[in-house]
Amino acid sequence: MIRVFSEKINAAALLSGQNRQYSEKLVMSDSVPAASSKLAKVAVSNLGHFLCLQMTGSYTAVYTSGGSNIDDGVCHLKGQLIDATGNRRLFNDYIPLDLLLSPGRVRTNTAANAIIAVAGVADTAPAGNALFYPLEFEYLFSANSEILLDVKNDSNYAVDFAICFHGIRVIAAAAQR
Amino acid sequence: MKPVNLEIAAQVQPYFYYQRLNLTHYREYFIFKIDNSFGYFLRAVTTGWPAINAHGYSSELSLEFFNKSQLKARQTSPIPAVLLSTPSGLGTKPALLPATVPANIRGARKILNIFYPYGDTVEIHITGQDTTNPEFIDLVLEGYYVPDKTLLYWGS
Repeated sequence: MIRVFSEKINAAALLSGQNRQYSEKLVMSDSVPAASSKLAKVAVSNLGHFLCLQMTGSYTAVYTSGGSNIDDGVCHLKGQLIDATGNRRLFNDYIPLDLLLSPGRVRTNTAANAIIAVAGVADTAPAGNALFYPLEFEYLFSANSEILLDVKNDSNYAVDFAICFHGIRVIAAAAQR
Repeated sequence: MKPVNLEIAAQVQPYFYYQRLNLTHYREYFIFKIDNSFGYFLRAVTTGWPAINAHGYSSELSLEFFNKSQLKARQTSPIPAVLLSTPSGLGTKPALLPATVPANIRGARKILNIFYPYGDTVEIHITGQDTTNPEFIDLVLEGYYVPDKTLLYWGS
């Protein structure tokens, strides 16, 4: 465990350091149409390079059955992460998002929040996932580039997702090599 | 916080390798041929399989890791999959899941830190299946390509 406050805090050094680099979070969120795909993106901007360290994310699980929109608890999304610089694919294939994202499935408020049990009796969809395990993902995204996620949805209803990239912004003018 | 050294930060490229394996034989093989000129640093493996009973949990499945080039096994005996990665309910058979079974929790997994040299092949053997086991398993290798700068590919 890292003890952040184990040494005397030098406020001037901390502020000076934050002028060169600081904790940054980039959020990508979108809605993928039914039985379709979408290229979601978030810009890294020209502030500086972005060193991504971890990823967290969530998605909804909606399916239309018998005229009702239900939360079926199934992940319908697969995604492939791409660094727009050089169009570099960081996954070999489209990976089901429930194998990557935590907390993962969240209950949707657009559905009836019901799943149909085997007996045909409506029941309540399970609560959204509460466990939180950020995914380690270390990669340096260049300034002025974009982070792309090519997402496919195999549900017959639009499904939402959101991903947060946690990392460090390295101010361009202060980049150290 | 130490200043980020961009030269060090830029040295690795994450490459996540995903495959879905149908479990039809007593021993199934997950094969990933590493690109030439790069080593591969395997941090962790996430697994997932469809729940097949009312408890949403099953599997006697075990995993064995091999360095193909060295014919080296990374363990003395197969490791039960549930001791490497908590099973993530894929929810692919919702009709069998009662409302109390949570679906689609991404598994927590043990850090492995296995380094494969350039041009090697990551080989994982999956054993332990029988007729009561799920019909497939999903595997995601979470790892990083590391350029092997001793090779002429990278210049003299």
